[in-house]
Amino acid sequence: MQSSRLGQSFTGFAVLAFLILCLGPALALIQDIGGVAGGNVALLTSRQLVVLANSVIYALVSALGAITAGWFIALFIWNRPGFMAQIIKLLLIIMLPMPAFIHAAGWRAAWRFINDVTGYNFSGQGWAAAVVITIMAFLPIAVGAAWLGLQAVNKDLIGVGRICRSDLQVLSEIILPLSAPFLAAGAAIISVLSLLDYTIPSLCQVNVYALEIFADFSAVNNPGRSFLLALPLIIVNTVIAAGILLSLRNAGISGVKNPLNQTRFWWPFWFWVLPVLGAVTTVVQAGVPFITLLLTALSGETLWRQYGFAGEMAYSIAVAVGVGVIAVLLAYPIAKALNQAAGGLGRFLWLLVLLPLLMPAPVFGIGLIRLGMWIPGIYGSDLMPIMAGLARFLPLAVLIIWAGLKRMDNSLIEAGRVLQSKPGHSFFRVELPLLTPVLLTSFLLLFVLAFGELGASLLVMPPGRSTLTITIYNYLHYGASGSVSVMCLSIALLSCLVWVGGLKSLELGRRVK
Amino acid sequence: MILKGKGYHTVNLAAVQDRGGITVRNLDKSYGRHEVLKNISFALKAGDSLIIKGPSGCGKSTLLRILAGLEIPDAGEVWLDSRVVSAPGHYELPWLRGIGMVFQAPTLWPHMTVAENITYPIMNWPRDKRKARLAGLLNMLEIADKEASFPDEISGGQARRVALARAFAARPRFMLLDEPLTNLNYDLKLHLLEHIKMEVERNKSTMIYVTHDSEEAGYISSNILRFEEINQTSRIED
Repeated sequence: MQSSRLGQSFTGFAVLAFLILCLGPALALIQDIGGVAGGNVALLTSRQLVVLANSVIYALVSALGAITAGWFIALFIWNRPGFMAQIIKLLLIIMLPMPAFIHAAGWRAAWRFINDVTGYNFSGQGWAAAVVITIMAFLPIAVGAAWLGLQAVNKDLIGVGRICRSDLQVLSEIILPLSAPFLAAGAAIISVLSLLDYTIPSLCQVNVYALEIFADFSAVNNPGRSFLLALPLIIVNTVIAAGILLSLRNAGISGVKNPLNQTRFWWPFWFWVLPVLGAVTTVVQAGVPFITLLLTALSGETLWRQYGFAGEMAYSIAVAVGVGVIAVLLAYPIAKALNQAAGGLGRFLWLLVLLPLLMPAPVFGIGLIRLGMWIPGIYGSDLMPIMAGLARFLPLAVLIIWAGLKRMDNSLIEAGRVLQSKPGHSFFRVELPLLTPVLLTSFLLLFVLAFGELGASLLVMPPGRSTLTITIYNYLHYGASGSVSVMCLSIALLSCLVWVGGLKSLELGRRVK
Repeated sequence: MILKGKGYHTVNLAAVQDRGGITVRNLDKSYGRHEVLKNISFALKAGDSLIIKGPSGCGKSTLLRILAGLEIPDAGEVWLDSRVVSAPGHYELPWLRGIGMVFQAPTLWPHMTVAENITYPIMNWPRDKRKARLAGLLNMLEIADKEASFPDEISGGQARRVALARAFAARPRFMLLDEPLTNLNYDLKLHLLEHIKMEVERNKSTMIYVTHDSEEAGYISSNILRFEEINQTSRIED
């Protein structure tokens, strides 16, 4: 009973912290709306409307391109489970948490390299370049969604089709329609992420709506106005998110884990070219950032001489660890509450968890400045970048842990509770060990995401401090390619090491058990 | 019905396969270290029916999936109507084998109507012939009123009938039925058994029928192949 009361108190605290961190910034800005002079942003200017329309088109084209490429890559892995498929999977896992601007930096370096070699003067700027880099940056998410879609189709539904019609017909008439909800959800997620990210477009010299919010705040310093500006983007994202939820609700998930416990599909050569091209795209997607950044880094001074960013690196790691640890501690009780809540309360909790994921990063940054001014000792402190990371990514930690709880056999927990010899024994001996993999995955993902966070921390960084990401972003605009490459490589390698190393050790740990 | 397994005398399988039907020679199949089929051989004459019985997990469904071309054996050969469809280095695609199959679950495609599910194997038929075949099957199995329904709008028993109709639609040379009437009530089971037998005879199909139910088995055929642990002690009951 005692532990239950303690648990309830902690859940209450976690929910309160979630509300303050993730929704507090937006609420603080709403409070400021009254101060907007003349309400002159209540209606968007025609220029802003054009920027918004451009952003939506850019996001949709990127999402469509990514999900199409992702589907063919997923088909390659699905139908050719072998060495190459393993390599492709590994590359995608490595690239999953890579910040978008590293792709942009890598591709910029690639274009410079191509220009040097060919003598051609390709600028690597504009909408087309932004779309290509965005597709590359979000490819792992697209492949993941397409892969889940393929996995979700019951193998017997496929088998009975293969007896009647050719494999290509089965693919287009059965597999594609049945996995369509996952493809739609994947495309929608990529659309939202593309709408929220401004790093790639800004480096490609195109203006998107998320950047407009940041630029407006920098120019006018009016928090309420910034929130009003952000509202159309939040509304567009909410509509897309509703589409995601609807898609997944209609998805017929059979739960069959390995549909390809059967003979490989036979497709005509012209069709096979597409999955193979997809596989090649993955290699390019992962190879370009690493190889071009390495080449650029090596082309100037030696790596160690260029590397004078130990302070930024240490600060970035400290912030990322802080975000990861606090996020896991807070997310666990919230995920548990989400798992248990039903009906209206459940829907309300879901709304609270999903809403922060739909807001552009500058809203968190600007809102946190506002909150920081109200709470003594916060503004200008080292807590601000940690709060920025938590505000943006805590909902993701909640979702990961919720998915882990959903998959867990509840009877194991109940048995632990019934049979425990003292209060809390079941939590430490049964619940926590069972959840360790998911908690660690959540920590790892949040670590790498917080390590690469830019949009909110750019606004809240304490004086005299800088993370590696912010330094890179500033340098990128000045075109300091050698230094940028070294820093980008450092981020990329550290992310890989933490993410893949952590996942690998988890796998080994499971085997040992 | 001729069977060769461990401890059985060798029979002249070639003589049977020349006459058509299904011939299986020395079939092995493992999933990792788990052996599912081991040295399975039998021959079934064209137009004959065979019942396969045995405990769960003994490889009955795997055998049907190999015959259908949905899985490739580790070793051995499968012949359908005097042509080899699966052998080391040789594999014929499932849809070219002339097979109709019913799985343990009805496996209806949820995004297609009952009519679309049934006519899927005969989409290359002329429209009027296809419509006539559909009407015939719907009437025979008493589901004519469900033609435009989706699978989630019909009962379990009706779904089983649709799955049977779909398997019969193309009048396949070979019918593979994997416990097609599980969990149905006695009357409906008997009713559907009659239709299965009638349709198989009308189409002169060669049929393999997997079931646990002795009564069901007796109704279909007296040729019974009993699968035991890892097939080494398979024995024939006729």
